[in-house]
Amino acid sequence: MMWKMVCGAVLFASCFALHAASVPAFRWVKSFGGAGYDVIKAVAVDHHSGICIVGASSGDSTIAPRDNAARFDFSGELIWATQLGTSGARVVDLSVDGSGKFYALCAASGTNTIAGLRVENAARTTCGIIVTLDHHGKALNAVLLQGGEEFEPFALRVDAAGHCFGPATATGIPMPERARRSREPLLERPAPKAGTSGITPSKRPNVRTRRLA
Amino acid sequence: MLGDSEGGAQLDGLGTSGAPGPNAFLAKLDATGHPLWVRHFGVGAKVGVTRLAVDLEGACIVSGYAQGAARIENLVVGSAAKLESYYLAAKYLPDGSVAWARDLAYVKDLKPGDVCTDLGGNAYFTHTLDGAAVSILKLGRGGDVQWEKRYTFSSLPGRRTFLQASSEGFVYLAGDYYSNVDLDGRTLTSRGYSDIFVALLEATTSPWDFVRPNPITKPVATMPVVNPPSIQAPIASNAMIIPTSRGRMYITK
Repeated sequence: MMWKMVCGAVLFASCFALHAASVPAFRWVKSFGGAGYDVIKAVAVDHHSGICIVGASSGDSTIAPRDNAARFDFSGELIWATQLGTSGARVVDLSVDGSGKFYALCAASGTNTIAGLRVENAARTTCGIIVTLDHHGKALNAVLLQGGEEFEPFALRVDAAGHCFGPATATGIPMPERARRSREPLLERPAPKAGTSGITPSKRPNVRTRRLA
Repeated sequence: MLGDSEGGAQLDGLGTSGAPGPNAFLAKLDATGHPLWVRHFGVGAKVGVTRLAVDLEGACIVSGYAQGAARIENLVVGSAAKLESYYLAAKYLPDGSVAWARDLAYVKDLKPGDVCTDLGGNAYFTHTLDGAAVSILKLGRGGDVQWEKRYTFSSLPGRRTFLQASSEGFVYLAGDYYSNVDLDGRTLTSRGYSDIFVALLEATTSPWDFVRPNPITKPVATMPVVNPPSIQAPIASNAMIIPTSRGRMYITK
């Protein structure tokens, strides 16, 4: 009798342990933010199994001011963080390609400096901007998605080869025209004349690394 | 592509004719943007969609919410007798047929959750529960619940939560929160109105559990596998192939 009770107890304990083991625990947890509001917009896993996030802050986040992007490695260490948005730009989504490049989608109006790149939108209407960063957080280029009137992007996906896809609401010109424009590397163009749209690299890189508490 | 619609959706001549009222649709486009198929998501119920994830086999996991009985192709989810809103999920195979569809939870205040898949074809969901809690669910390839994990907030749940699975089977959880959030006894306190958290969940899918889309049934040497030029060693017959973002990784037991 005693033997059966012991076997039953062992069986119950082993079943419970198996069930408990099947529910994963948190390996690490990180938190950041400032005195105001901080909200998350999107996340993506990079090619080294780290995590990239974009979020918005009311201005004083512990990693980077305003709309920002950050990359954590697999152990939870903050690798870099950079400011993406300014007063006229807000981050919407992000995606990572197979080589670890980081694509942040922003909606913007007017002229902004995004991740160190000065993006000029002379049309004075809402446009989309895809900023490409390398895996160190350095801005590589930016592509302006612009239409005759309003252009409101709301998602971005990038395949392994770096082709960008994403829906947007738009008025003015048809979407295929915008899609063709979105592939144009504007940074390789001659410097834009006054009153036209264009993107130029800023002299001050805006990437910084800060260890979280 | 996933979207909400009123009464149906049309894409380049392909389309659905849904019931009046809030509906949702799912479409698959080829690389040139041409629609291959369009499916109505949830006939007969007030349906909305939240997120979409595609696994390595090209199957598509859709999460959404509904009220009443929802028919997803030839499967019925929920009940017309229940007036409570619920989260639902469905898996569409690459040809547009439905592998499974199921309700996940009935709750009062629905908030958008997230969905992701791992290399083994398992799916992970987040959704809010009644009160100040969020549930993380892992469903197997067949839609069976593998585990559920919950975490709680001191007041309201945060606005958004996101899930992403790494190639090793770990799952990232990220979101924002007001006041406090309790993650396995680790209480985070917001410095201001709201803060952001990022967490890593231990892997519950071993790399050995990852399923090859095309099991090896022939001698490996005859398979059209492209090896890196510098690696010419033969692949062992018991090797497991793990697709990664950089190609394929081979592991031998």
